[in-house]
Amino acid sequence: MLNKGAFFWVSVFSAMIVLAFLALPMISMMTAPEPSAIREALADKLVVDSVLLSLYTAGMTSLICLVVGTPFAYLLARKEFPGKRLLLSIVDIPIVIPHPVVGIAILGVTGRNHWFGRVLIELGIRVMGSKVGIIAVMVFVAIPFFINAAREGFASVSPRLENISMSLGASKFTTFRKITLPLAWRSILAGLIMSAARALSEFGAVVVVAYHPMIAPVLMYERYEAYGLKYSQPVAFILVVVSLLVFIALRFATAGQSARVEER
Amino acid sequence: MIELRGITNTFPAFQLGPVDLDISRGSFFMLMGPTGSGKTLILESIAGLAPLKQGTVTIFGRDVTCVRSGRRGVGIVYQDSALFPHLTVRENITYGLKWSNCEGMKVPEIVEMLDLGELMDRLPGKLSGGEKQRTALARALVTNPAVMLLDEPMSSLDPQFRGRLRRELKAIHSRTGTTFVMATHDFTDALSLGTGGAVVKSGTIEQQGTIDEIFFKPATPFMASFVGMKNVFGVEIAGGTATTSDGLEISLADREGSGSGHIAIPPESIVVSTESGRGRTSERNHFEGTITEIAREGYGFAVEVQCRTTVFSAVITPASLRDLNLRQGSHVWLSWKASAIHIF
Repeated sequence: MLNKGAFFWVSVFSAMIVLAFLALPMISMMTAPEPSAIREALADKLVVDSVLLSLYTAGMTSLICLVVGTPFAYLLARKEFPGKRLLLSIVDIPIVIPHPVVGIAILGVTGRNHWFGRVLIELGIRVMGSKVGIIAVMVFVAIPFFINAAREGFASVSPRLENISMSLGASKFTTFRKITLPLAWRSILAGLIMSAARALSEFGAVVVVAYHPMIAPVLMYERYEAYGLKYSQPVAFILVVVSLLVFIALRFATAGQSARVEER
Repeated sequence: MIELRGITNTFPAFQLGPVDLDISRGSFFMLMGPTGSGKTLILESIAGLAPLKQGTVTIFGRDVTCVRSGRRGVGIVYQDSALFPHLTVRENITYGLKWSNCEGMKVPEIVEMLDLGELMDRLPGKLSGGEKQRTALARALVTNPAVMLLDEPMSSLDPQFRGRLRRELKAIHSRTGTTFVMATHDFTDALSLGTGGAVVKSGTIEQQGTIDEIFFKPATPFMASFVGMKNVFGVEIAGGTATTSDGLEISLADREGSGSGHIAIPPESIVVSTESGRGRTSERNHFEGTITEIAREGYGFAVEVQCRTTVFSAVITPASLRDLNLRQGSHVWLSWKASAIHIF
């Protein structure tokens, strides 16, 4: 132990500071609510509805990311073309801009003063104060995480495997389904989980676009503002527990598919 | 015949072609060239896996330029095997049968031929390099392709496995009658398997012909250097004599022809002696020089001898080196027959 250099101990010290900084507030939050307060919150329809809405909108966000983002991620992984760097930077924009700005930007294009907003109104689609608005905001902030993870997954699959598949008679689509997708699946799943987690945690942009219907983070904020910390903690506790359960279930559900690929 | 006519493609750092190539049906054609010369791209062009900017690909009279890869009757095996890592050996081998309508070879027959019986339920991650390549071969052969494209299939194998795979390839070729096109930079592969071949340099064909023509009658200085020829010199030829830039007059067997050209003298054809044999041997070329370097080369020694400013390389045995007491700076005579000189 004494033989370890100063650099080692500096590393250990820095790790302890970071872990304490991350873990202490979480432990405090998870242990603070009385069991009776949690039971009370679980019986509160407003709380249950907000958690369910959070899960629903985050789930829809992941699904949209999967459907829309997968072909785009594949294109970015496989093709070289002029302007690709610019495209990659555009994809990363939501990561770097402040979240309330996202909400304001979305309202800007979906309101009556923008042609796109007028088209949506004509089609009967309301963004402000609706689930559509919440999902739109969530997709905006979450899709970079999905695209980047899926792109890395596709890039890790050798194009030669696709070549072989096509030389053996499989179509491009079949090759994607039978070879590329199973091999990139772990990264896609990671992207889905990251995008869902990002969507679940979004507050700043959602609160601008849709204060109602209330997702869990907005309800937490409202209870904190109106009643104080004690009343917001049970909602946070329930949201964290439910989210963890969903992610663990998702991991287990796809573990079988991943294990085989891992043996390669 | 497989015919490539004027195929070209442009990549950010590489230009392929224009490539013209003729490969006879049933041959074992070797595509040789340095790393990065474009061999794989040519194979992928035949397979329909690399886009073409210009040119046509015809396989046995059928223009397949616009035919998609899986409908060309072509199988491909890559250097790294490119087995599907999430599928077992059995699933890899039978993969093509799901999508091809062709009458394939029987799977058990191929499995037996390539000795894969014990490995069928394994995943590629659990196979050795040789087993992976045999599986890749089986996967390509099972759809009974008219053309097999092999992209340096032995380069990642240990020497003992190379010999085995080489024998297996030879056996499969003679048994199936399939046309094999193999990219390689290993001369042992080319000399032991090839019936014809071509050398690729910077995306174009430098020389095409029989294996003997490529190795013993190189057409350009690059070819001479590529096939390992030494003592390649630019000369002026006139009246049966080749004159080097520093004025050495080398007698040629052929008295006809004149102009600028190149000659190559095999190092093993050059005799090194400590006294002149001029007028006492049948060799017509005798030059006096000084040894500038002696280096071990395989079982013998490579001796570099400078005559005027031209440096010749000769190969001698350890016994000759000892008996003649040769060392750097020794004064020696070099001689060789006019018929040993290759002119191009």
